[in-house]
Amino acid sequence: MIPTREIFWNVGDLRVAIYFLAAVPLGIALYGILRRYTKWRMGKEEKRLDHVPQRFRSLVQSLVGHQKILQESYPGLMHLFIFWGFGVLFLGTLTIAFQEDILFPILGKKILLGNFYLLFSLLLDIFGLFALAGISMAIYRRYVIRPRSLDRRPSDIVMLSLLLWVVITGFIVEGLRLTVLEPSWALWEPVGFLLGRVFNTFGIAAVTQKGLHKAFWWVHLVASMGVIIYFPFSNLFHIISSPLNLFFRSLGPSGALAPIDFQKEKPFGVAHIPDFTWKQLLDLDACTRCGRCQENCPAYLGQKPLNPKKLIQDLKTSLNLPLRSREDLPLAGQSISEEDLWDCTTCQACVESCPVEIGHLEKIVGLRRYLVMEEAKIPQEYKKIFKNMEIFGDPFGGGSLTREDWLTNVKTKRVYQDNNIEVLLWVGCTGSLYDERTKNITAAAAKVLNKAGINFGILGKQELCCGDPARRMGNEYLFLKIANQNITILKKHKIKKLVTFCPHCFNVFRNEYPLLGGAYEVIHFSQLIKILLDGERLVVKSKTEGFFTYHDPCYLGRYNKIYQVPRDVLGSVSASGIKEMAYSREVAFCCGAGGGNLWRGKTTGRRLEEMRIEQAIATKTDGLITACPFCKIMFESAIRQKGLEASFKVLDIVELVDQVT
Amino acid sequence: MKIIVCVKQVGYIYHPIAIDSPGGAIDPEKIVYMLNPYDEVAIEEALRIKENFGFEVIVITAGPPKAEAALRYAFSFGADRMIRIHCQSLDAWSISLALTAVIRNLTYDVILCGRKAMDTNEGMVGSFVAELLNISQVSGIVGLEIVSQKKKVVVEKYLGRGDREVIECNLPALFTVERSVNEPRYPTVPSRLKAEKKGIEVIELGTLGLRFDEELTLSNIRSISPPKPKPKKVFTPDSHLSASDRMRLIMSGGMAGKKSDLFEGPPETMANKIAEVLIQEKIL
Repeated sequence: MIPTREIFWNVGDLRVAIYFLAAVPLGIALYGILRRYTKWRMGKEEKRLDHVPQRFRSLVQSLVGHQKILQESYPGLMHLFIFWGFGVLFLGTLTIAFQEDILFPILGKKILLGNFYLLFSLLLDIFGLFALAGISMAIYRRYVIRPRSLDRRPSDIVMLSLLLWVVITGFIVEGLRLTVLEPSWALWEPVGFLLGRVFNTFGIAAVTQKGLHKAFWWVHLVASMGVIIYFPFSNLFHIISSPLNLFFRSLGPSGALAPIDFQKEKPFGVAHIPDFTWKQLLDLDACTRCGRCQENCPAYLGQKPLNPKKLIQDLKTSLNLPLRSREDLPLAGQSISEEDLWDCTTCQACVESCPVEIGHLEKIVGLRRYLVMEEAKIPQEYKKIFKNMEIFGDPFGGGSLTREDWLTNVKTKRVYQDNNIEVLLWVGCTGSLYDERTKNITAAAAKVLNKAGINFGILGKQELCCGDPARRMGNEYLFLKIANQNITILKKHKIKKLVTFCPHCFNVFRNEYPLLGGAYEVIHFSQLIKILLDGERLVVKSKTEGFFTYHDPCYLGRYNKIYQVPRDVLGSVSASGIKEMAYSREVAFCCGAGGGNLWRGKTTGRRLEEMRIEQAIATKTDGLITACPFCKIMFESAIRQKGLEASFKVLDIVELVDQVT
Repeated sequence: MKIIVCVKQVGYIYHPIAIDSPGGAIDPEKIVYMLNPYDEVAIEEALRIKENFGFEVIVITAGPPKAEAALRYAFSFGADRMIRIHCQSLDAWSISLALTAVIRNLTYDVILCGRKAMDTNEGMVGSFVAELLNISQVSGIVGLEIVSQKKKVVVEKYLGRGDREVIECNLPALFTVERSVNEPRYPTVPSRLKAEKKGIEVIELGTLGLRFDEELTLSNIRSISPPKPKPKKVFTPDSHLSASDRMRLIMSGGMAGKKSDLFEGPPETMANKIAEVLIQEKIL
């Protein structure tokens, strides 16, 4: 006898009826999905249909490869099992439906025959086991292990139980079918075969087995329908929202913010839910409450009130409010606390860790924009910063004339005297105005450029703040003002190439000025050093004996994916190489200065720079090298507060390179 | 009730600036301009009164076209009218004559000014204007309260050593405010944009029937010279502060370093260093 399966054996000819039965749960599910869709449509317009083939490819890669999800091994494996387990089971059901409703009625053919059927059966059993394992792992993790990253809602246990029950009843039905029919190929359905053996030991009569089979078949059907009915209202909705979110993710530079058209938009920033774009609202539904953002957020780990997972879920709660009260509940200051918003250092650890590409940061900045620009509700310290930037052109209020004070006896061209240069050294505000800790970096940079024989110049007195602090703090109006002034100055001096050692300046010029009409070739100083070392324009006189660790600045690392270049440079200048800290590269722990927090006074929780310097000290090296003046400011203060400055150095990579060349 | 606020765009002279010719003026290219901080307090006070009582607020300045930036900033706090008297920089007396000539044609109940301008530091315009208008004035107030709409105001004037004088004043009156009266707001962007678009009423001196020549000017600048070199500011003598404390010190201008050397380091080296210095200075 040719291996095959009689579909609907023992349960009656439900070929047509099944579709009428299925209509109800499918209808409810569709209603649920449509309801979510109308919620997303409450948001503003946003164009996300560019580069469709690339979007599709990247989506398939994420789904099949599971790379981000697998970054945590237990939940990664668990999800892989569930995804492929239920995926293959679903494909199996589709194959049966295809045969029964299209192939056989039209062409009189059956494919679930012979060897194909045997392979089909074996695969479904194996993947059914994966599904079972995955769901069991999920239940165990959420309810027994109870990690801090997970919370529990009634809908979670309902959904997990339904899914578990679907798989178990599926196997029971298979087992009962096999013990009644006893086909010779039963071993190709191993789980069912084993279950059948178990049933036989209970000595159940064949007639009862047939009855049980029919009963469990219906239970299996009802449970499956339950899954379909319930999924839009539970966490499982992410099987629709998360792939959609992956498909529509931003293809632009990481963390790049959208400019505001001050003539057209109202309000400036996000006051209520409809002020978000539809994609930002879709984000809220893609969230599966996995908690990775929370567990990677430095503010959260530093026991500050900010919690990115809670932020997204609180926004989702606001999204779900009935239509009438939506406008009455402004978000910033009400459902989202102001302190939470200011605590964010814009480090993007949350965005980096999110497997479904939620943009926590753009929502925080959107809410900040509203607070700053429409309500003028800002931390006390920030008023002075904004006024300084507007009046003096820098957040410290040092004024442009003092921007050249760092120049002692270092040969440097000022472009307003001679603009015949290869590249502009963009010094930045910390490099010229803060104090000796950062001005030394600038002097070192100029010396390195001179050693390499690079014809460079600086703007000096004509340099203004790049505007990044204003933008990150939410003052888009001030950012636009300053950026336009910078674009005018750079145009006047015909500047096309910039090099800077400040990742904030680097990031904003490279990724955000082009949208405003200022397009330049921008590189970070560490990248330039590598080019110079590789091209032997810079020669290491003697490698440093020091053994160091390296801290990835957020705006160089996560924002611009520049992790290896500084490490290569350190490899060339250090005899003993570097030792990595526990959290480095993509998961590097923020120094705490970003997003305006450099100027924020005392806050709740721990000092983030202290937490990070403790990680650095734990490497038992001679010191920490970084590639960002903000980071250097924070870590120098941290190490001196601990009184360890004699034994643990804090240096910028430019300073180290200057020392050895 | 109407409130008039007199404002001035000042040059920030507390950064290094250049004198453009011997005995002449400060090079205008090298100055950063801003709304006089005392005037900012005055306009903030005027707006608080408006928010409580719904009065009209008029902002007025006497200066060149570039002063309109400061005027618009003051307006963006929420004022109703902006007036600029077109003139170059004049001395305090001439400014007062110009302001008075315009204010005489307006109706007003309260006039608010900053106690002094941060660049000239004279503090005379407010008092001159009040005299010329023949109205009551209290200078250097630290508190203001509109008692009733029946044209009465109670102000507090700081007398020093914690003492305050409480003065009840009939309106119309002019008050010059100290910086401690309030904390000026940061204007919202919609109000900044509104201020950018709103028209400024520009009045020419000629139309006021005033002639400005040497006879009318009570004072003129004979010479300006750069200041004596200031003690180099040491931002934070204690380098063991936390990052946020350090930043706070830096933002508030740091501390003037004394003529001395500063040594830093761990206790062991410090002890030796101190002994060295004591021996050098022949104390030990």
